[in-house]
Amino acid sequence: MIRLVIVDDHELVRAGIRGGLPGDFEVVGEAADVTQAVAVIRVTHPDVVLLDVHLPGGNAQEVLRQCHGGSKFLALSVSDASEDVIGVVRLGARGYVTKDITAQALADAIRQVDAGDAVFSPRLAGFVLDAFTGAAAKTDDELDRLTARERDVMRLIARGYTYREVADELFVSVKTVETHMSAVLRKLQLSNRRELARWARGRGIE
Amino acid sequence: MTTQIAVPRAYRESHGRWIGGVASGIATNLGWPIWTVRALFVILTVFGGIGVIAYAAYWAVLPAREDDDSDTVRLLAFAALVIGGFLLVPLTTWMQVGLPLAVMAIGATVVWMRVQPARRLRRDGLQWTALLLGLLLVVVGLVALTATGLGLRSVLNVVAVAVLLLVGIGLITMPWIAGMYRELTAERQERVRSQTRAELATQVHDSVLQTLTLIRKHADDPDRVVRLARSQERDLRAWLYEPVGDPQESLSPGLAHIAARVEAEYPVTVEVVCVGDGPLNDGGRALVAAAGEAVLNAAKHAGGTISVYAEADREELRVYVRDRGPGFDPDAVPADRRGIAESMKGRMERAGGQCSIRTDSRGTEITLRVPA
Repeated sequence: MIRLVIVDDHELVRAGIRGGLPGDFEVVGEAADVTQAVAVIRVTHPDVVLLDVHLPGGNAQEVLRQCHGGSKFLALSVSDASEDVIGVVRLGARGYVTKDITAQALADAIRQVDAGDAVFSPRLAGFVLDAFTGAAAKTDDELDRLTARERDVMRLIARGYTYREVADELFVSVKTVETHMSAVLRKLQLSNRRELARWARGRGIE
Repeated sequence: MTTQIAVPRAYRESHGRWIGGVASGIATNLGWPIWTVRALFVILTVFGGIGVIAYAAYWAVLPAREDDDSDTVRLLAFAALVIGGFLLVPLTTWMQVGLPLAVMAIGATVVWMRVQPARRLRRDGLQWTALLLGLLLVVVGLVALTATGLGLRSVLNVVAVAVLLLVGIGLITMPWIAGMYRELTAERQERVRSQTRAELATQVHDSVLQTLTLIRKHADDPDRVVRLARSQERDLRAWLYEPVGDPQESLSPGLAHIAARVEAEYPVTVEVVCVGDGPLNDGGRALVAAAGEAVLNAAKHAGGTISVYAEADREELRVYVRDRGPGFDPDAVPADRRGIAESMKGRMERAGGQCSIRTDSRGTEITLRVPA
């Protein structure tokens, strides 16, 4: 049983997500803005928080700043703005999916996040590649660049491959693919220097 | 918006001239009889030599209608006039009247040249310096002029009175000026707001309201409704978040355009992910066109979600189009599918690029590349 908190300012969206989840999920709380979200998360200690990137009264990054540790976060949005998405991932969200995701795919994504893995949609993979592009040639710090393998994984995900297909394509196990993705996530979160930082600043992410 | 007021340009006239053609030039320009202008110059010369100075100044400033006298001649004449003017006018008069006037003229010129819309002025320190310098020159000239024949004490008194007068006027008119400024600002803001509102209203009307009407009409056709909603979402999002690029000019807008077109025609989702973006040359345009065929092909035969991934770097543009269809055997396909595949290949090869197709039961991926 995965205990879930849904943070979204639209009742309709929350209801839709709640209705579509299979039986092994329990929605222990819902919130419509930053203040409510922080309060609900502190009281219920959910396993996973589904977090809308755009919230009234501050943005989702504020929730992540105030509630790190404990729960895992999966960012959810209709917005395609890369700075918002990279922003929440840098503050600790373990993945990003768009709201038009199917209920089945969302359930899978939540399970992955709960298991400590990263969730990369093609779009997020594209943003990540964009963020690290150009960094590789100019820096020696390995936090500021992707390894060739990590880049391969990101590119295949961006091309619409499932994790299974990525694993087959690269002749590795699904577990290895997940390890690469976690490594990319870690770099995205830890690297606040040089190229990535400059890229982030250029797009208004602090 | 600037309005240009056309002022008939004055020239020095070469025919009918006595000295430099200044008087006849001015007379022609103003439409006066020439002798009045000449008389004016003479009369002004009698009063402290101003006529000579003015004549010299006009000569230096006004262009000749026909470029008949060489620069040297002009310069000599100018110098002669200036020297003559100096000799004609007593030195004391020069010091007392001419110099202060000249200083004031320079100051005023500087100020006028620097007058600009206030917003631009605020940011430019140099402009302020020039402005202050110009004002200072004018003030110094004024003081020097009034100082003629007066002692330093009286001059200071005059200055003090002038300053007090200015402050007094400022105090009296301050509320009025402030009120006017506030009104102006409020009016400008209101105008900007109403423009934004009008733009928003137009956008919502042209897109969202139209689409909602269409959706209501086709409520019994879920496919159609989904397509309408998706294309509307795409439009709205592009309008809200992304600056619209020209599909012909660079890669990312080009692919977005294809996705929108295909989604409008077929019940599919086209997900476009671009890493980097680049301007399109002929090869790039061929690439986008081929990608368009690939997406169309996938929409017709595979359906579902079509992933389009594009990479642009300095050497190469690459586009991957992947679908989740049943795949096909490249050697045993219906003629139309092979035809499309061949035309894609041909198109890419002519552009100096490549096209490869990989297909199996899990779907088809078409890779297109072309040198950047």
